Amino acid sequence: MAIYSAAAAITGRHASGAVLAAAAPGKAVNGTELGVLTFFFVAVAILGFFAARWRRSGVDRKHLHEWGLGGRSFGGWVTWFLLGGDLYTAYTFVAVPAALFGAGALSFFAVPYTILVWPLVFIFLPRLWSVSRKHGYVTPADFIKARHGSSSLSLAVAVTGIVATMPYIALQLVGIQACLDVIGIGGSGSTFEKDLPLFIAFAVLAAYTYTSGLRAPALIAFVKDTLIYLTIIVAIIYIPMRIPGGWNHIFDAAQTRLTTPNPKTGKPAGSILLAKGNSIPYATLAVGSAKALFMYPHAQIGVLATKSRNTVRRNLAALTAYSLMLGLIALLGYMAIAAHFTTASLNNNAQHAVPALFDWAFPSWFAGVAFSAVAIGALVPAAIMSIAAANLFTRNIWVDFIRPQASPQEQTQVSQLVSLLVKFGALAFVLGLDATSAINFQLLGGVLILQTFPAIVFGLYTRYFHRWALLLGWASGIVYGALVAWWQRSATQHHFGSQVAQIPWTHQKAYIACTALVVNLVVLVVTNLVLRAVHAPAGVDQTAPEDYEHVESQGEPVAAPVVA
Amino acid sequence: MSTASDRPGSENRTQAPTGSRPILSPLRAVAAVCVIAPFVAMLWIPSYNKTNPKLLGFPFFYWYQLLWVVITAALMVIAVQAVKHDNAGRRGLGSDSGSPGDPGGPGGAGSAGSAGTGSGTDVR
Repeated sequence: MAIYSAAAAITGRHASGAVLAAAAPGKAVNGTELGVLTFFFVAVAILGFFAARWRRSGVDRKHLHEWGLGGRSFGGWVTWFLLGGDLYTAYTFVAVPAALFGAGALSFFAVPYTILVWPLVFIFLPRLWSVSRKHGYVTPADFIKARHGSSSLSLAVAVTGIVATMPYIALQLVGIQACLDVIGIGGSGSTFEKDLPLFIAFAVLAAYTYTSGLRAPALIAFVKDTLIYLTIIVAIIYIPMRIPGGWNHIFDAAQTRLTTPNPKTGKPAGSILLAKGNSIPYATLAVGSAKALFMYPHAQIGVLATKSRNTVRRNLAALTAYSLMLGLIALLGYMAIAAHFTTASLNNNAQHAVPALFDWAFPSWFAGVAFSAVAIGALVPAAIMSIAAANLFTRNIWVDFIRPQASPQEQTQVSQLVSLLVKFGALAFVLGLDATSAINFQLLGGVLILQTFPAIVFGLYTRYFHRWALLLGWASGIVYGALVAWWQRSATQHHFGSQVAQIPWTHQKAYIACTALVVNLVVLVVTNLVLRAVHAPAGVDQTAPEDYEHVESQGEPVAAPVVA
Repeated sequence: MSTASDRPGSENRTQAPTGSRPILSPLRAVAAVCVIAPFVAMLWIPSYNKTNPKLLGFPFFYWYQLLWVVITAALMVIAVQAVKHDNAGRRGLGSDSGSPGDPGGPGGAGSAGSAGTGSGTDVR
């Protein structure tokens, strides 16, 4: 979390204790680590291209359902891996531990966040699946348009989804970059030389996403999860053994470091328990992030690609395994403290905490495996996110506003091209911004995407809310959230310095996404009453109540006619 | 602000075929409790913002929240089963026919005793 990383940058510069661990970046290239990483990367690339032929139905080869939703054919196992690949990204492996490294307990909100996601999924995603399958919707904005009879509301949801996804993809690149830096490639030389490995990795990713669509990340997710579970289990058992005193010492060392006042500001960076006044930020970060997650197009795509209404529900218990893993990965941040890494020894980049810890603790060959896990763990979601953003663009901007007569083949081609553009847009993000900002923009993504919650989730249950009221509420939430986020200053940044801000008229801080959602809801309720009172035209609802309970029947065509 | 806890209720209202049964059946109440419980537990922060008792060197704050991951897994299994049986009862049918050939997935992997999660029948 950027707020905390910024704090860590300051603490680190001054807390120059005995550096037991070698400062990773800037040293010579570690050939073994690079070799292992290259091996896995090539293997995964081959798998990615091969995926084009995997589970191909042969019926509608050119339809967007095939490329963009994997033929909507994914059962339980694939879904478990695909959703895991979706949800547990470089944010989990790099950003969350870095945040614990920098600020302690407050950053542990990622655990309640990933706990609360699953009850929310249980409640509303089966309804979204049913109505989308019944009517052949490829994106959530397709649903919005048909449900509320409003192209502008659908456009709002689509644009929000695309904008919020880009920095999230950028964050995946930051994760890969952190590994490459620690291996020793990058970090020196010209910009071009420094970023060349990242550039190659991304070009290959772009190529197999283009050819194989959603099948590529779904297949690669198997490799990714195997590597990650292996790495995490080894890390959780082996690293505490390398640190004298084990877990007791890890938490003690973290507490000592975090509570030491920063000589510059006189304030400690944090604590291993929540400080007074941090309960509300902790709760709102958890609930806000949980509600935001399944508003992201890449998370919904994993659900829409399943072949039965209850594939996801049946998987819920097993999916919580990812939450457990996330909690354990987060604690790697404290292990990095106990191993005497400081922000200064990490090249002033707390994002290096986990890769540097692996580099220090593991023999080179296993560090290479661990970096492969992190890097492939970043590539899979980056692919899914770019596909999701491309689907949104094609369906809800290209077809709705530019070429309504586009054939399914043309839609697939446009999606393929846009998936490339989105990725290179994200690459520009990474090259243009520093790592801290990228994470901060990702949190801003959460602020933005959460504003589509009323239109999508309320829309699944009721048409009580008028389309224009939903649009006005969305606009108010976006404007409020974006402005407040823009105004947040930190020691290192003039804007977007924190995603936790004061609630107006109080002294209490909260995650901006939640405050903005309250603004959104107030505007929604008030304008809705007015619009209903004046009998503003409500638009045509193309869905029927029973569509929301729709269960796939045998032999039903996967690609229902596109609703115009 | 709509909290997650009022949504199971709204699902009940719209999940139509009421028939002779009341909208809020005991099984649905069980599912609602399972869904709401994690929110209550995780948002009641003062209940776990403390160091002791420690477990294997982990302060209470950390191991308690990780424990809730496992508890949530179990609650989700119960909720899915409750809704499934409730719907079966409502229609007087055994269950929906699921897509044959659906491998069922790793549904039971998160918790022992999650009987039926991988049965290949659709839970509604």
